[in-house]
Amino acid sequence: MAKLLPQWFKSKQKTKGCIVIVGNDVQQLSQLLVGQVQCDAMPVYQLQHDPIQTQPQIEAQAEGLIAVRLNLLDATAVKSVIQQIQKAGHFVDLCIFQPDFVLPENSQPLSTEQLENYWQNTGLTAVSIAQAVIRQMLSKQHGTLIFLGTQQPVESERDLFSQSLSASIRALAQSLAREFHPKGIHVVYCVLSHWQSANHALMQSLQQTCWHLYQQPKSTWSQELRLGL
Amino acid sequence: MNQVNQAPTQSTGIVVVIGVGAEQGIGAAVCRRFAHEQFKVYVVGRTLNKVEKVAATINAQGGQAVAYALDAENEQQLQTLFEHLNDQPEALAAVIHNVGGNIPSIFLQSSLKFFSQMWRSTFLSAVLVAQHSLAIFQKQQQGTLIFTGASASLRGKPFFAAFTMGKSALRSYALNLAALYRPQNIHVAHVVVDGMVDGDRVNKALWGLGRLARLTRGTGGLNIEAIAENYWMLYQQNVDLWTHELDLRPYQEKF
Repeated sequence: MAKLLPQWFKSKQKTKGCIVIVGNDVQQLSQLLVGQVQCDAMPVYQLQHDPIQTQPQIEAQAEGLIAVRLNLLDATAVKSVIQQIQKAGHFVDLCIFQPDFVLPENSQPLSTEQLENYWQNTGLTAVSIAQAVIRQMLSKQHGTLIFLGTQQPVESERDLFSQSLSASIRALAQSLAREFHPKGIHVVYCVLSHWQSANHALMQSLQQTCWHLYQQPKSTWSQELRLGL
Repeated sequence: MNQVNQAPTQSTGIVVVIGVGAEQGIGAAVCRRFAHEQFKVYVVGRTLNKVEKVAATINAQGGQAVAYALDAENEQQLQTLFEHLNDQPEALAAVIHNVGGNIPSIFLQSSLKFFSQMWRSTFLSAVLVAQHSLAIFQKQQQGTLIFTGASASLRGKPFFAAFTMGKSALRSYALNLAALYRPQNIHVAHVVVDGMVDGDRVNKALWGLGRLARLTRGTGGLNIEAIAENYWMLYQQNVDLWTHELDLRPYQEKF
């Protein structure tokens, strides 16, 4: 009982849900989500991977959007940013992960080092973020984690790897969904035909889809969907 | 590093099986099957003692096998092997990638290091093997490259997040590679081994409890010689009717 009481008080504390968007090319999507949640005053955190930032660095803060740079593969840095979000009175209720599928040009075949870097920037970062936000979501048995992916025709060695890493993240989403759906955490894999952050219509459609997924009732959750294919 | 055994018969070409461990395993069974067809088989694995045993058995039965120890995640060691193969008088007929064991883990308690280790063994090693094999196959204008997949190649299950990430990436890579290299007369195939394998890895796991788990599932698991027969079938396929993905499971296995 003594152990349960602090948990009960903790759960009664007034915290507000927030959105976390992770990726290197998600400014447009973040802005659209800020517009979507304006009336709910739901803040949007935008996390960008920066290997040299072992301490989360707030880059910009305006109109409900907080942009933070940090090393997403540094467990302490990721834990620290989640703690800062909690200290601000927020909890991560929706997290959208956009993997960085950019590979070096004119490099065939890719070296082991390039492949390792690519894995770290996509698959491993997805694992790191998922571990941090799921841990936090479990305390409330509530939250939505959306992994984005792309599916495009394979014409070169670079496409081979972007498709392989997409498949990797899709499998991760499936594994997490099977493990954490029964615990109240909604995990979705959403695949697009291509990623074009400058394409306003595409980003708007994606934002609407993410919002729809977030609002799905527990009785009717999607685990995977495709857009524009 | 490696040990070459002289063989009594003349081979019809070279087959390289990378990821050979116990004699009662998929890799060893595939080695035996191709050796039976007069191929000179390179038995390649991480542990010299194990690959030597597999090669010795083949050689004792009149086949031709070469034991070769390497770490399939090491680009330099793979390059040395393929340079050696390139210098051989025989053509490189087939390369089989059978690397990467299944290790369950609790997602929230698994380190990022563990995820990277699994990715290297299941996916990176396959890419490195493919890059070296395809360079030779392109010169020859023919060749067969087969990857061993698992249930996790198709389905992401709880406690197998790390394994499924690597195996799913490998499946996507293999199937896309198959489409890219088919016009060059290079056959790439991915075999989904969908169930428990009746081999040493399962049977000796957890002090023999693995065998019990396999037997209590009712199907007895996938027979390794039968799996090897399917690799041989893939190799033999006519160019007009190539299979690029083959799933194998016991008749009672749920999927």
